[in-house]
Amino acid sequence: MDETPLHLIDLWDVLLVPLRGDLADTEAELLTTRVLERVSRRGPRGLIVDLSGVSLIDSHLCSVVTNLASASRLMGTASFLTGFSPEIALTLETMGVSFEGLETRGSVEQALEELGIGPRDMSDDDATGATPFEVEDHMDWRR
Amino acid sequence: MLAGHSTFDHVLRELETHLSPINARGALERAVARMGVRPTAMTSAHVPGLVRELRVALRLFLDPKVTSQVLQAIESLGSGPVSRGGTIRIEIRGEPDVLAARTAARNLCDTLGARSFAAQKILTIVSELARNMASYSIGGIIDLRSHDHRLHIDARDRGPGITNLDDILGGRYRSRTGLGLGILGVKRLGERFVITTSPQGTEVLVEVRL
Repeated sequence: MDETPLHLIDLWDVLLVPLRGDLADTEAELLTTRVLERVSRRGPRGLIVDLSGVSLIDSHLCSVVTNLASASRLMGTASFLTGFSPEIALTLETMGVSFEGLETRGSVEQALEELGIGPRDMSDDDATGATPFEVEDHMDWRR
Repeated sequence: MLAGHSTFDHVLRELETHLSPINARGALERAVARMGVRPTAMTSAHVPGLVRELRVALRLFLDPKVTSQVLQAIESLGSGPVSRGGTIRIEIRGEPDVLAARTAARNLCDTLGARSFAAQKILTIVSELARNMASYSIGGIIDLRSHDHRLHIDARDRGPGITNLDDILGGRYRSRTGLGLGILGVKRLGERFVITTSPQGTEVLVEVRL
């Protein structure tokens, strides 16, 4: 069992990384290594780093997270940073931190929708009269 | 120990950074009950015993490394930053002290009833200064003092100083580890910023309105 609190969650072809609490320097390094390894190995379409569990983001954590997102993007994975609280957003803006070139969203849900993953519209099934199984077959063919 | 908020509240708050509120409160209340102390009667003197009780309880929820981190932060509530006539003094010798500095700043903001945006600025400033001190100096102290609805932050280290301060404050320097942006960020966050540096050491004075 890993000793770190790092938690990488696979959602189909998207990798979700929810950060929690305070991140020590060694943990930050490990985060970067593990995420990039996973990105390299599985080649997800998207990476979402969620910051809503972090109460303080200083310039160091900023640079760790932005480097991670940029490196993943270089490897072909669209990267999103999500979950900035109003206080953190204003603080980072005042400090002059630039997230240029990186995608940020308010929530994990918004980033997922950007990647084409969202709630299923149940009314579609009723209209065609198809069972969920048949609808999925149809979708597979289209993909 | 800081007045205004109970020791119990401070410890609970610390636990809530890593546990859900229900689990944090449950673990803490059980630990306090085993010590035979009422939550409202808890003082910083109880902290060492509390840490012992929590060490076992937290293993149910957290892996060992995170447990150590959380307990370290709680321990610093009991014996940590020295209060000297209204000044909270934090010693910075290495990376673990950065966490202690944040905790002390967070507790002080709670006690002073700082607005959430002011508290965020203060925590970020303290984190930046503590981190720079831990990473680039041979050690130092950070004093936090509340005066006239402002928080005064005084960070003094013993060297070796910052050689390209003009570039950093002019926004022309960014080290790979982010040193430059930290200090510039502090300057932009605070309402008063004075920095002096020499090979003998660096002092940063910042104020934030509460």
